[in-house]
Amino acid sequence: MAITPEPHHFASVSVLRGLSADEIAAVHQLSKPREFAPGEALVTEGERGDSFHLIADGEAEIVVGGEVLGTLGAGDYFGEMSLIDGGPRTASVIAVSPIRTLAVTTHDFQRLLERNPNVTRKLLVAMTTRARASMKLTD
Amino acid sequence: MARNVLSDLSKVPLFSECSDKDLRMTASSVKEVEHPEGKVVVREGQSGVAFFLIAEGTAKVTVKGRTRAKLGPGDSFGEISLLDGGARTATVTATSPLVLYGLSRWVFNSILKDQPDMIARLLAGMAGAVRRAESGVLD
Repeated sequence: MAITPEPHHFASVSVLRGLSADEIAAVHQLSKPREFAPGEALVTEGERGDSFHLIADGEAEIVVGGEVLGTLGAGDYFGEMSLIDGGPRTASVIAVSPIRTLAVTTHDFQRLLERNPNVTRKLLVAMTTRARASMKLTD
Repeated sequence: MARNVLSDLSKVPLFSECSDKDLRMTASSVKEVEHPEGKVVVREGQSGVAFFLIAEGTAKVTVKGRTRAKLGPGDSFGEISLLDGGARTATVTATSPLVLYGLSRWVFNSILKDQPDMIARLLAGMAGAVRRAESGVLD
């Protein structure tokens, strides 16, 4: 079941929580369509994360250390941490069917942050809230 | 016993990617605060305006009366209050005489004004904390 990616899909990405409608629209505007054939890797475990993907159509497998851990389909996303720190991919994502995504590059996202320091601030709050839930930090 | 504020700050997840200059500016801006045993340092539900790092002593973290954690020297709390002044999510009570380093939102904001790129390093610090805390994160 395909989706037509719209700004509100980006609003549900955890680290983008708290951004205004205009700011979400700006992130959506950065996105570009990508296509992958069955068997192709969208991202490879261990490589530098240079993009975020929102799946519009198709199915992919999450593979860690050669083991399939789950599947992703339309509306699912991954790589939001990479937008912020360009860190290593924690898993490979391999297309099972022909797959279309909307991708935002880390480079474009960082330029958006440079132009909008208030967005950086909101990301920081969202990230800290997420860390708190995971680490049981006190606030 | 003298503590090294700089060293303690660098271990706080929020400040973990900060430059030496960021840390020096922050360390020189903290205020030392003392509380007797039994004193409520922050109360859940109240607006928070400061971040605290424990220099000496111990404290307990409770939510609705139930103990969630125990804190000691080097532990910190209030990162989110520093960023957005939202309501405290837990009560922190001194369980011994307590010496804290406090950093208010106003002082923090003026540091960020002087070092505007520090916010990107704070975000990277928090992203690192999320990655470490969420061992299964897909990115």
